[in-house]
Amino acid sequence: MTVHEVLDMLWGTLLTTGLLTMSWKYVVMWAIAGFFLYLAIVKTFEPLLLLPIGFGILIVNFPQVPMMGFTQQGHRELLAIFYHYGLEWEVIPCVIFLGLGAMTDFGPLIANPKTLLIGAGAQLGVFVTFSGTVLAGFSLKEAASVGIIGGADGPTTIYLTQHLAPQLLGANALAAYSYMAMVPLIQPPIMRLLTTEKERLIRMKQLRPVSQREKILYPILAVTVIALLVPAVVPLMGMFMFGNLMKESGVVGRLTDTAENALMNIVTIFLGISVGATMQADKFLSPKPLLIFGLGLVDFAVCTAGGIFTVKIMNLFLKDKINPLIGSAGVSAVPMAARVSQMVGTQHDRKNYLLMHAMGPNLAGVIGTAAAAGMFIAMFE
Amino acid sequence: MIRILLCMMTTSLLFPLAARAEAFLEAPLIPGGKTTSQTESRLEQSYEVSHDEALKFYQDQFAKEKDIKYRDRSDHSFIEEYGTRPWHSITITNKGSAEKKTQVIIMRDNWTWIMGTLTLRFTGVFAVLLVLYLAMEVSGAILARVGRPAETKD
Repeated sequence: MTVHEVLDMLWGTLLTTGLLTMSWKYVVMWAIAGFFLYLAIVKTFEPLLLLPIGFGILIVNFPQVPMMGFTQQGHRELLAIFYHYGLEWEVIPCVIFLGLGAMTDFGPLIANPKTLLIGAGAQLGVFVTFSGTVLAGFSLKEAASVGIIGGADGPTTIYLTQHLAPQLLGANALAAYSYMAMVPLIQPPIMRLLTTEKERLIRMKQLRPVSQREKILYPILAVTVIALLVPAVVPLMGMFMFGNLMKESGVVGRLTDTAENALMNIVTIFLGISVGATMQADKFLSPKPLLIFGLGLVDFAVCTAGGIFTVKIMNLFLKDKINPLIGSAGVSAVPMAARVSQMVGTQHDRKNYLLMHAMGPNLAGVIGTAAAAGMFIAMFE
Repeated sequence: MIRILLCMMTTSLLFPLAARAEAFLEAPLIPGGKTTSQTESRLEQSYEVSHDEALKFYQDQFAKEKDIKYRDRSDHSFIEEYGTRPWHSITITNKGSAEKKTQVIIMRDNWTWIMGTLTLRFTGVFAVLLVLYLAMEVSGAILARVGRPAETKD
């Protein structure tokens, strides 16, 4: 073997590595991946999602990795398969909702159904951000998908974005989950700014006990109303209420257990890594994702304010006043946003327990965000 | 002059779409129209073609476009654009008639429409949750009534 042949072979080997096609863009994406892994591992912010998302970002941002493209035979590569069947087919968001339904207790919402209106008011940011996004040069469909980020509901954001603007899926999902993780940082200053000391001290009447019969009836009633009024989101809300009916009926314990544990965990892994994998350097490093992050923050703030203002308006007509601090829980982010209401409430009155009261608007927020998504789907399709 | 004419002829041979591309707010215009009214944000033209021919023209023009929605109304067709182009809608009148007379109205993307539709949909979210609230109140009252005698019996 001649020296030339050896060098040729080495060069050939080198060409099969990613070293020669490295670019600064990959390094930037590694930093972003590192940031999300840091948030998940060190700060334990939404680690179940941010860890797989962070790793998904990392793993696709190397030259020549066979992850998100097609093989020479035309088959999809590993993460492209997860993405195609899980997200493009809209399977994962719906299965996540099934698991969430099986984990949810609608008791606080049934005990105080007035709080449903707070969930509607907290969608204000979704619509305000829509206009801002159009002004920023996005198309109307893109604007709707960015607007829904403020609803703080990951699966709904993914579902709507996949419907209307799949090219923004990575950025939208990442913004939604990042801001959901940062609810304890974003919401308290807005809550303090928009409420008076007197309002923060309002103690709410203890919630009435809810019978099992009511809890069983609720998912059937809710899905009927939603199917009639916003049929476009029945894939999401139908699964949500199905999961809840399984739980509350108490007759399919094994199915409920699978839905809320094993199945939920499996789809969470595929969701996280697939969302992360959509963020390839070439697609992600452009002004649009940065704008989406900026608009998403405004969206969250306006949604929080919308919930608080709705409570203030309701208080003008109610005999038993509602503490406006639970208004912020009208953005979904279950149960984090409700915990934030409790945390801020106890900072002002140690014996004011707002958690269960805040769960009402929190769950209403999930339905409100889904209703808003349904409105957008109906608008464009 | 000859040079310009030559250039135009070459362009129309090589790029027939570009040569024909008469447009208002980037919305293509059917050739041979007579303008009946025009402002900066609205153009109204009449044509000696049937409704179906006019609709076919736009369907061909937008065949590859994603953000176009066709809506069938009783007496006209309505084409909406959800992308980033300056025009918002094209209305083609005289639907259902074989008469070769059609009016086409092209409108600019306008904030009145955007704000109107957003307000309507935000109100819609309230309406959905309000209906659910009322349904819960009613079913709760019914359950309380039905449940009471059973509890007394126990």
